[in-house]
Amino acid sequence: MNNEIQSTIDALIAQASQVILGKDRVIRLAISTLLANGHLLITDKPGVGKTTLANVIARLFGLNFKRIQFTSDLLPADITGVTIFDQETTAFTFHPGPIFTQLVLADEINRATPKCQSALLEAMEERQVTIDRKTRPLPRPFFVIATRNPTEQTGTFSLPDSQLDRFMLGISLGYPDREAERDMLKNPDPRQKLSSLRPVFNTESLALAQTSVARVTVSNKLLDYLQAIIAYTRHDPAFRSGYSPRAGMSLLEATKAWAVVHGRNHVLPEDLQTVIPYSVHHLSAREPTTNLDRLILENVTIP
Amino acid sequence: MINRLRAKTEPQYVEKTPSGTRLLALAIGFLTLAVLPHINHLRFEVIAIFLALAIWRLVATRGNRLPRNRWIIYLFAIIGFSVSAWLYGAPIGRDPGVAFLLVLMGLKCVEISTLRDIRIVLLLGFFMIATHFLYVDGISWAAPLLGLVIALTWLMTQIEHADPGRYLFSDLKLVGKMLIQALPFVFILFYLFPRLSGSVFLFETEADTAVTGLSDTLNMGTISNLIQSREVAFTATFLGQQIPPPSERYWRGGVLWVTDGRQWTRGKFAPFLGVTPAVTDLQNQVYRYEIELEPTNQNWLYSLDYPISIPRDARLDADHHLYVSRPIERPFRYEIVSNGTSIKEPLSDIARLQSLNLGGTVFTPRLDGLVQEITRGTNSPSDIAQRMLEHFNQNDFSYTLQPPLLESDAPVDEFLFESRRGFCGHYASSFATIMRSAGIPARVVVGYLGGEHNPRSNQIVVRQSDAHAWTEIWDSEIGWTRVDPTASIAPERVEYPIDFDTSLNTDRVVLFSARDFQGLRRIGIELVWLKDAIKAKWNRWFVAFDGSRQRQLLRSMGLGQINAKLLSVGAFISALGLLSLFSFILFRRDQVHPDPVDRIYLNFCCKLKRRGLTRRHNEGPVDFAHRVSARLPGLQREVQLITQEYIALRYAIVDAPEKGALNRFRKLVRGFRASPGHKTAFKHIAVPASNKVEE
Repeated sequence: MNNEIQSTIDALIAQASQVILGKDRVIRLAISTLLANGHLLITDKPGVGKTTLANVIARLFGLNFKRIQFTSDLLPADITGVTIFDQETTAFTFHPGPIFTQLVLADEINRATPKCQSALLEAMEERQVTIDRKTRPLPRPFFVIATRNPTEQTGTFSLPDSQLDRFMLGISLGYPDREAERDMLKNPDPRQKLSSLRPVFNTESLALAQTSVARVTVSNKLLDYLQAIIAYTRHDPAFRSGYSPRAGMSLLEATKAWAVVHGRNHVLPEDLQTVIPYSVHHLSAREPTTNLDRLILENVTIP
Repeated sequence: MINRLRAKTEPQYVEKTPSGTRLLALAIGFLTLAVLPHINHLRFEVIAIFLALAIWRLVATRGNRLPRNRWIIYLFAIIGFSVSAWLYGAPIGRDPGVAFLLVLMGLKCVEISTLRDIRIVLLLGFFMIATHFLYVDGISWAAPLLGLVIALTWLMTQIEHADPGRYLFSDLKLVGKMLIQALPFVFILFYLFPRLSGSVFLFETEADTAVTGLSDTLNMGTISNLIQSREVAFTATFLGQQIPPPSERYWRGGVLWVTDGRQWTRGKFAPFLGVTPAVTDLQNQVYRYEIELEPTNQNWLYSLDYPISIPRDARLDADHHLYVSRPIERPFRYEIVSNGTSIKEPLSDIARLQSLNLGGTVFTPRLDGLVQEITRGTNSPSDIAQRMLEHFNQNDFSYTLQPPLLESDAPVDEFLFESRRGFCGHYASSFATIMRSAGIPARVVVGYLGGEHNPRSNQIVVRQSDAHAWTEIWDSEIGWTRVDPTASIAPERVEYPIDFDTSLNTDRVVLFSARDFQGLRRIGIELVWLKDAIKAKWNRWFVAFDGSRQRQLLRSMGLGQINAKLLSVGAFISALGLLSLFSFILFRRDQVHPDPVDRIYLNFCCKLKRRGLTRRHNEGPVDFAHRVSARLPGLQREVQLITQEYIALRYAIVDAPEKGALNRFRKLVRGFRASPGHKTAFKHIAVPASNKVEE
């Protein structure tokens, strides 16, 4: 493992922890998702710092950042952009939407109509958008951090399973602990802290870090374990649907990145066990109250 | 610990468990299947009681109207015992015993309230299956009963599953595995557990169970019924190359000396009527063979003419009649040598007297006339016999299995001059009577004639339909000579005995009778041969395995001196040994790995296990190391080092580890001592920073 990359990651975590207090694991998961070239889904109540997290990530990674606030009257063109007839040049010119950026924060994604959601999700999967029969590539790298409110809240459209599957990891921030909350209350303006952040990554070093994730060693034993987990979710009666092949791959990628974030160039079973609770949005249970990640961790034997 | 156990044994009520009623219905259904074959042996009332109780339990699933009071069940049990004793007129014995068991099973069904009860009922079902072997032992029963064993075992696995029926295929595999694992125990217990010879305690076989066999009395008409039966009487396996030709396949059973004019019996003095033959007189034509005799409830053994060896446990009378001391109630196997020809021997005075004694035979003038006619001008026994045979041949005598009844006082006369239709018994007894009245010593021999030769197993299968009676006359030149009068009436009965090629045309495989189907017919014959060969092996190795066979087996293993007590201890110990071997294998299965890295790491885990720290099945190495370090801080460094090596070998590389690293790891684990206070051998090794997983 490249020491430089390692120290960059360490610095990144250290800086992010100063702004987002007491959320070390969330920060690491978010970084892992980006290093593994995946998209992140944050499910939480309003006001727990979802936007701040996205802001911090964008800043520290040195990425262009745009935010789309999803509302029920949002149209797909509001995301992807429109082609308008220009009177002066007498030609159609394309006005790119907010999606043409490196990091998109899709805020409250489940408040928008399914049509808008799918416009975003298509972009996530293909990393390109097609407008007026013309395919336009999105900038590289391209990340989406989407937030959603818990589905029981009013005014939400739930995301279909097929679209949830496109997010590599799903996290929730939760309330800060007592100490962190006290700190926040003392220094109520996070924007000041945010502006003090300096990017630690640039496009090149990010690409380098992503390469090192791709090079992480995954032993056969570990693959045995992963496949046992995947098979378990597909055959156990508690599951209505298990990991799809794509979800299985993205789980492994996230786990590899998680190992890199922890300074290792090989994956341990513990890495998988840590990441699995954040990938249960790929699964669905027969009984809604079932704790799927607990089932997996308790019942699948490490080979 | 106790709390945990209690939590586990929380009763799972059938009606409250998902799919509990389905399991109940399946269990009762399988049980009924296990009971139903008893309809052949037991009183219908007993089966009806069982069915009524079982159905009661099934119906009661809807409303909960079952007797929950223990005393009511006890009362029922007492009533059941009385009923089964009353039905059979005795409280003890095979039939009332099984009947009582059946009633109890029905009651147990009524008593089912939890899944545990279903398990118990299934175990009883296994016992029920075993009771069938008190009645039957054919291989044709093995398949359905094995099927039931599989079904019951499968149902037991279903009870263990939360969602039965989902794992059908994998569970069947599991059942197969379990049954295969049980096989060694079956063999040890079957072959080594001491056999109770003779009457089995409590389950004395009823003396008159319908076992077909030759009667020791030849009456005009007794063999008729027998001939209809296609049951196998015995199977002879030839050990040498020599097989007797069809016309020589006379299987000697009993020799009948005494007649009263209507029937022939053996008489009390038969054993003394002659000189015990020399049994070492081996001549040219020698057949060595082994006979697997089906139960006859009679003590006769069968042999080709004339036995020149005496089987184990058997005795040979002077008239070449072989027998054992007690009736044969289970398949009996013996080896014997026959010379295939006659034996010249003297005739004692008392035997001459008996073999000329006509008893109360009524002679009519025309009978006397016939005797005078055939003895005219000669006293050579063979000539006289030849003339009598010609008499049969030249008059309108015919062979039939449905002869008219001979009701007059002189049945021999009636047969010879009026009905002239009969089977071997008629011809043999009337021929012997004529010979005796002509002054020639004669006797009647009953046994079997012929048998199907099965080249696949070099066996001759003799069926009850091959039963036969013939005559022996005494010629001072030759000794006792076989004369078969039936041969002169129906030579095909002798020359072409019921054999496959002919029998296939009659009742066996009618489908293949046409000549166009030669090939198919051949296959049919081959299949029948194969079936008979399998059946013979089955009889030989399972059914006929009794106390004496067991002693023989033990002798061949060099354990001849062993007695029953030692044997039972030995069987118990070897079963126990096998059991512990199995549990050891099962115990080690998770631990013995072909992979050296895993093996060494498990060795490490074993050492910690002795300190009470067991790695959970889903616990990763780092988590385990953390837990161990927290519990045993003194071992922290070593545990971390070993864990690190393990990770380096197991997770940090894809290919097989290099030898040096493996050896280092092995040394580390070997030097690791988990016991407290022990100074380990590698304190000086620097411990690198521990693996970070998360803080």
